[in-house]
Amino acid sequence: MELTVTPYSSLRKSDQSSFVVHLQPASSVADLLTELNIAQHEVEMVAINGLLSQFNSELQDQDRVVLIPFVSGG
Amino acid sequence: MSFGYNGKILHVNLSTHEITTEEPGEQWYRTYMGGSAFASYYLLKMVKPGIDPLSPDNVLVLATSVICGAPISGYNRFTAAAKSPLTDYFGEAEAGGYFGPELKFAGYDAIVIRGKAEKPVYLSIMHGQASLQDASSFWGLDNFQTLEKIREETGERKVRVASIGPAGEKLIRFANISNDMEHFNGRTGMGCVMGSKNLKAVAVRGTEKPEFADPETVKSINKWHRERIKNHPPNQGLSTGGTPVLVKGLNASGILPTRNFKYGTFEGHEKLEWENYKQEIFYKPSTCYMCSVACKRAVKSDDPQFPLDPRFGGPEYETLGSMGSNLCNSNIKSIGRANQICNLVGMDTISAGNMVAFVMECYESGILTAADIGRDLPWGDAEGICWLVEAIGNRQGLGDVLAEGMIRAAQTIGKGSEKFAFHIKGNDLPLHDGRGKTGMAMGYALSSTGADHVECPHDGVFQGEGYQALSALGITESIRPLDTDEDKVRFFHLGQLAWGINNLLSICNFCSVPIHAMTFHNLVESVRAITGWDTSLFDIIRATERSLVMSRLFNVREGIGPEEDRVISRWHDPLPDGPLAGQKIDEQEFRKALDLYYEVCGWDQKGRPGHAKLVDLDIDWVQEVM
Repeated sequence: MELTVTPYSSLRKSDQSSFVVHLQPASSVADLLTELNIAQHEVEMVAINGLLSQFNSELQDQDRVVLIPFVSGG
Repeated sequence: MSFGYNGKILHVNLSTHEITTEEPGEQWYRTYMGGSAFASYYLLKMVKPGIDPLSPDNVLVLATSVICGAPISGYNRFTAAAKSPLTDYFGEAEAGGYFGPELKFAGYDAIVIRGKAEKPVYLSIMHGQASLQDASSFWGLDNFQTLEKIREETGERKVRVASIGPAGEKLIRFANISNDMEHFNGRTGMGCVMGSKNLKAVAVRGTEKPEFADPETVKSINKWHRERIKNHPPNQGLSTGGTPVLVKGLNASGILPTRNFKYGTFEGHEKLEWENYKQEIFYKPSTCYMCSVACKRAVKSDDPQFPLDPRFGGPEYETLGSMGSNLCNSNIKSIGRANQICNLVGMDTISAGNMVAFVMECYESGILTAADIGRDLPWGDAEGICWLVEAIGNRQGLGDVLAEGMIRAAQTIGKGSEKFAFHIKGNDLPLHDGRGKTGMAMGYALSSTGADHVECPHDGVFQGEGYQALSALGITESIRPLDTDEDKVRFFHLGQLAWGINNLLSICNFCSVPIHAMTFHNLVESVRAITGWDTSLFDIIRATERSLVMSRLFNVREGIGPEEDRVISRWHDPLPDGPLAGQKIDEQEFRKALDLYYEVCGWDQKGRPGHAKLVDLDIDWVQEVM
């Protein structure tokens, strides 16, 4: 399946603000992060098609995934 | 019959040794609910305006909430509040751990302490019995020794102790309260107030857990919450690496305070990040009462220069910033060491680090010489940092001046040092750069406690679709972290009210709404199930607003004006580095945003909540004490 991924700030590893990723059907957000080589502990928010989601949320073909890094209080 | 709470407030007069119990009734609990609101209620009623915070006239409140101690992750904190000796305004600090729940199981929802003991004492509350005990033999002991002594003396292995170390005794204005050597009411000098009262510690032990109205629902919310924590992004991060996981994102976003809040990126950032922390000093995780996040970190090192003992606490993000990036120090063992010195003597690591940053910049600019300081102190001098922190803790040499806090230290040093003495309302800065998150900058400017990073949610999370976390409050679009427009004011106001729930109900920000694993819906359901009240998000947020307005009025009574709602001058200069280079907070635009905030809150142009607001919130009694 094909996903459009938009990582913010430190999670952005290339110059592209959004890019397409291909994954096996029934993959989860955790699988996507493994594919992108991003550690779960670096991510503060994940949204799939505009809805906040968890690491075990299942992805569907053509989903838009937004990844926001840890940037809040401590 | 009350559910979730005891219905009892303990009052202690240290001057007369009089101990009484107040039973305020359900209506009072419904109105104020806990923590920050209990504190502002008693401080407004009992503290006369203009008093010296270090006099017996000051009142110290230690408050849990109607839900504190319930078996749900994060429902375990307590508030310490008094007139602050650091700011001379409203002082408040929260801590997690086990003390809050234990106080409730010992029979009380809060403790209100006034007067001053003739000689050192500690307050013992054992299974419902409160008494004052001689602490003369503990005076001078550090927090760890005090904890051990009280365990020994009471014979209660499971006693929970909130204590001060030598810093509180020596009236260091940013002395904190430590509980069990790992959790701290850090900000605004609440340990200094204890020291001024000759109160060395409060020891609590109890086994009478308040009953819940609907225990089955409490149990099922806990089960749901624990399951959700495992897969919820920010909680997963905190479980993995604790708050040190913040360093990487903040540096990459250009908002990691560096060189006394001048820069937003630090070249040694990798040394402070979790991966290196884990490799160099991490020993094991630990946690608070009933919490499955377990974000605390114990550290260990055999390095003879910077030895670290796992029993004395590990540095959190704020300390990695205050003793690390903001001092250009990438030696993580020295940061751990500075943290443990602070923990043992009992002073706030944010404030202590800020004082060191101030001295380092004064040294760099020639205002202070090596002779003034007692040694050279260039940026990044790991050994020098630990040396100066120790000197502050002992009030030795320049440390004695610095122990007075930012305003007083800069006044004493003079020679233009004020321009490097960063504080808001007298409180030095937590380690976040407002130029990259302007809503948080509004929190720093407007908080009753001065610069405060837990006044509101930080804007950066609500980029993209992150705003969904606040959708229950009617926020329907993302916000721009760098703006100071009308949208930002609305967002900040709602965010502040939502975030305030946590200090009101003694919930940890890292388990609660809006960012972490709790949802607004289940939070409200849990309060309903614990207390049996027919309450709602509306009702709880009204109590939060009550708390904000009462602490604001405490400050109004002390003579605060709108000019004290501000950020530091350095943030009106452009960030010189990193991805946000050029970004600044426009002073006039920011002022406009604050003025608009007053109006949104229904306050007057000077930022004073008026009669109508008090009527609206059902606290018009406050007018009688103004």
